[in-house]
Amino acid sequence: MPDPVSDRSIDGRFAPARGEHVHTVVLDGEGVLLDEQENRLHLLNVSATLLWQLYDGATTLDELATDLSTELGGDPAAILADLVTISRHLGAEGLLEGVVPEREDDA
Amino acid sequence: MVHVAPARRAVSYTFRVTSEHDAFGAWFDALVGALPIVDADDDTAEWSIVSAVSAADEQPTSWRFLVDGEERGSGQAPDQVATTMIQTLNGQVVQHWPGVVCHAGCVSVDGRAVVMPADPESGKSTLTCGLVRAGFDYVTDEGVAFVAGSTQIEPYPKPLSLDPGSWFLFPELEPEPPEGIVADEMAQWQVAPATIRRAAVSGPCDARFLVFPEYVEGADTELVPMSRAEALVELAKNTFEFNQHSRASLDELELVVRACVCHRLTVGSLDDAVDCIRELTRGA
Repeated sequence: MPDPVSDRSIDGRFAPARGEHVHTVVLDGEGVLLDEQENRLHLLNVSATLLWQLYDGATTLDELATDLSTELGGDPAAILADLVTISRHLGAEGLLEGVVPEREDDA
Repeated sequence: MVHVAPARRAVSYTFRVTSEHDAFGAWFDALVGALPIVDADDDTAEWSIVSAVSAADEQPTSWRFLVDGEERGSGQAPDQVATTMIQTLNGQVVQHWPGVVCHAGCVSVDGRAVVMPADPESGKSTLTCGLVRAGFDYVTDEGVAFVAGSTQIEPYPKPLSLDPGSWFLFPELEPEPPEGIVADEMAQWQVAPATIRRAAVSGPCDARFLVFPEYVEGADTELVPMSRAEALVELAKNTFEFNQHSRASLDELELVVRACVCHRLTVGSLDDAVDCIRELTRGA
C-alpha cells in the first residue's frame, strides 16, 4: 500500500479516490458526504458532486481535466487548476483515500 | 391522598405517575392527557412524586421526583418538578424509540406533516403553538419520531413548553397551578394541547414539508426554498444521538427529505409565519 500523501502535494499526477470511510448521498445532484470516522457531514455543490463521483483512484487529475475539456470545452490547464484546488480541499477535509491533511506547523 | 394516574404511552415509552399529593397528580395527568392511556405491564416505568408538607398551612414545601425508585429531580415549586418530569419524558422517548428522533416541532394537516427542526431557543415551540391555535393538528413541539424505513411519524403530543419570551403571544393559555397550591410565577408554561384547541392532536402522519424556522426580532418573515441536500445536513444536525448511528440515521433521514418540500423560515412575526406555512401547505 502506498504511503499517504499530504493534501498540499496533490497535483495533476494524482489519482484521487473517494475515502472508504465516506458515505455519500446525492440529492438533486448535490452531495452530502458523511465522514464516518469523524462523524462530520459535508455538503458539495453539483459540480463538486460530479467530480466526487469520478474519483475512482485510477484516473489522474490530468486525465480528468483532458476528458472534461474534450466533453465540455474550456482550457485544460484552467480545468486542471480547478480540479487540483477541489481535490486539495477534499483532501484537507480528510475525505480522500490515502491523503492526510497537512497541518500549518508541518510546512 | 395518593393519586395514581393511568399508565400512558409517550411514543414507545410507557409510564405511570403516582403522586403523594392528589392535586398535583391530577394536575400533571391533565397536562399529559393527550398521551394515550395504555394497560400497565412489566415494562411500564413507575414515576413517583413525593412531597414534604408544611404542618402550619399544609402547603407543599418541597417536591421529589423518582423513576423506578431513583431520584431524577427535586424542587420547591410544582412547575419546577413538572418541567423536570417533561424533560425526563423527552429523554426516555428518544432512548426507547428504535428509529430516528429529530429535535423539531411538528404539526399536520390532512395527514401531511410540517416538520420544523430547530435549535433550542429558536422559537419552534412558539411557532408550533401558533400553528395549532390556527387550526393545524398537534404532533409535538420537541421530538419527531420517524417510523423506520418510512416517512411516517408517530406523534408525541406532550404538553407544549413555552418560555417567558412568548407568553405575551398566548395570554389565554396561562396555566393555573395545581388546585390548593399557592405557587410563585412559573419559570416555564406547560400547556396541554386541549387547552389550545379541542381535538387538536394529530394521528400518525407523513412528513411532507420541512421548514427550518429561526426567530429574528424585527425581521421580515420570509419563507425561502432550500435544496434537499442542505435540508438533509440541517436535519441531521437536529437529530438526537445522530453520531451514535450516523450512517443508518442518515439513510433514514434521506427517505424523509426525498419526500419533502424544504424551506428556511425567518420569523419576525408569529402571525406572518403561520400565514406562510398555511400558504405552503395549501399550495402543495
